[in-house]
Amino acid sequence: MLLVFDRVTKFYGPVIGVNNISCRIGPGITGLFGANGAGKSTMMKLASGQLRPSQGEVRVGEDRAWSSAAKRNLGFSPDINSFYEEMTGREFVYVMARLCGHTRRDARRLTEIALEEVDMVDRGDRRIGGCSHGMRQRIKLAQALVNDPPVLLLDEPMTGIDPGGRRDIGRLLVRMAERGKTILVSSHILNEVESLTDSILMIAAGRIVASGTLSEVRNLLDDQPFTVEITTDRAREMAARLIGIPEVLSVELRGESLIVRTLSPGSFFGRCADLVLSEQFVVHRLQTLDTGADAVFGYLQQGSA
Amino acid sequence: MGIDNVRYHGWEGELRTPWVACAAIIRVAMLQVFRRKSYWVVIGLGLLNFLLFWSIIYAVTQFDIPRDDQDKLLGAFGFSSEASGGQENGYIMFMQRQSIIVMILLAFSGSLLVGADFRFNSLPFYLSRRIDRRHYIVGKLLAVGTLVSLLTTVPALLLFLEYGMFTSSLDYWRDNWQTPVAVIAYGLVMSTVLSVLLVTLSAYLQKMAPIAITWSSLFVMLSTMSGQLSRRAADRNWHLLDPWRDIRYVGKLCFYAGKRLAGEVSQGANAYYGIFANDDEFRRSLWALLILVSVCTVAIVALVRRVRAVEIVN
Repeated sequence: MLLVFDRVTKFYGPVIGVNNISCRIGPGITGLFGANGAGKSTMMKLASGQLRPSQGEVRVGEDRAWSSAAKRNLGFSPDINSFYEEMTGREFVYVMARLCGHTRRDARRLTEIALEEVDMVDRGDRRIGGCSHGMRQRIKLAQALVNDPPVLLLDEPMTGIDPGGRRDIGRLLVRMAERGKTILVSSHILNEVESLTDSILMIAAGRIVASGTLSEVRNLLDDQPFTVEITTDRAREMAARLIGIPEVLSVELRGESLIVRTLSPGSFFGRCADLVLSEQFVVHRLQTLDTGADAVFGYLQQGSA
Repeated sequence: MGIDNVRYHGWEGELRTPWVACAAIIRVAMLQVFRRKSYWVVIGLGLLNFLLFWSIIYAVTQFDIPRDDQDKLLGAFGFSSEASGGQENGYIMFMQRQSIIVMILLAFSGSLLVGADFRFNSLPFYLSRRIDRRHYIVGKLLAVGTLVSLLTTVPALLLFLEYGMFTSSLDYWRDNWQTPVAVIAYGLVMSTVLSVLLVTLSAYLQKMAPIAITWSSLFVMLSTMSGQLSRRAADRNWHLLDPWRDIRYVGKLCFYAGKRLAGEVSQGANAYYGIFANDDEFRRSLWALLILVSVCTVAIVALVRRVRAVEIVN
């Protein structure tokens, strides 16, 4: 099931939250990145039907996001840390299942399944007020999963969870995605989501500034230098040859490694391969240094500022 | 997490109407209130009042008390020694006393039941479900209404049952069948007014202290002010400023309507069946009804606007 933003604009009085956003999300995991105030939460709220767009339309499958039919297909985990401190995790997830319209019996069964998913079965009877940040995140995730929705919206789901827990939840999300679910994950820890998915949406100042895989996004940024590290046994000699390639901006020698900056990675890699073959260089390692999400997002933010 | 052992199963079936979700909202509210030990102190006071009325009814129906003393004892609590009539003021008095307990309880629970949803931005948990703002508002009103009913209507009905069960004559049931209907109607009025006012106030003020202060001011300050104005101007219409008195007036209307429904005739000194003292008081009760309807309408409009505005505040 697809989550579709069709020319969506949202005004908060005179302030614009998101500006003419169009995209189709899913199936699979999509990461949503943006700085505070970029419009990330507004997008999440539009997708979960809590906000209606001022212009355009948000659809979950064929239904408008704010309709009851669409909400049946949605699971939402908001970025909230304090909620119903008096209740136990199990009670909270049960109540959320009841709010979906399930009977008592179904709600109980689905609650146990959802708690098992997030590894909270044994700790489900603990008061939420006494739960750690990570446990609260798991409970929030459980309540989002409880109605087995085809579309999951997770706002900062990894915050406060220990590395082991992050890995577990990451694996859970990957499994869900493999089952055909559409999962939109917002996070400010980009590397975490980078390990989950290649598909990203980057938002800044209410606009989507990039979408696609990190590599695709990086290739679009031809006005930003692209950094490659090459480790070879004849580093000094290779540096001298590389500097003669027109696409290369600079070459830095670091022991047996070369740090090469280029504006046209596509043609650079072609010329570099020719050079290695013709001069018989032994390349031990070749890696790009700044296709990481943080670096790409940094570039994009600079561009949109 | 043993990911290989995860037993995630899809769910197939028909979901029930979103209005059923109101039951879940009531359940959450009751869990929240009854889990707090401090609230049990207030609820305990209500139980004491109930036990007092229970004991009085038990004493006069079960023990051999001289008729004069019986009249005095029951009269002090609004009841009549005539089991087949004159019980209305007893139930009105009981529910009015219970409403003081309710006022205290609501002053401290408004933040917990409604304010926290706005303060901690918990509303998305509700609104991302199949329910929308209508279901949320109705659910919260019903939750507060249930709390009010548990402390007023339900014990009043129990007193009615007690009186009937301890009275040897079947006349009680035959002549007072309209009383429980009137008790329920009065309870509904009280629940509706208090829940609308509390939910609206809590949605705007959110924190416990401002809610408790405003809530108390609304009921204590207006009551004192109306009393002062009424004495100084020698005009009892100033009592209409007091929300408690307005609720009680409308409650009396319910009992009056019950009597009319039963086809009883009121004449002479027993005009208005002893429920209203005179025509003026009857007319004032009609004004009180109009005031309560107006206040509730304004409060509901304000509440709807507040719940809509959440999207901007967040």
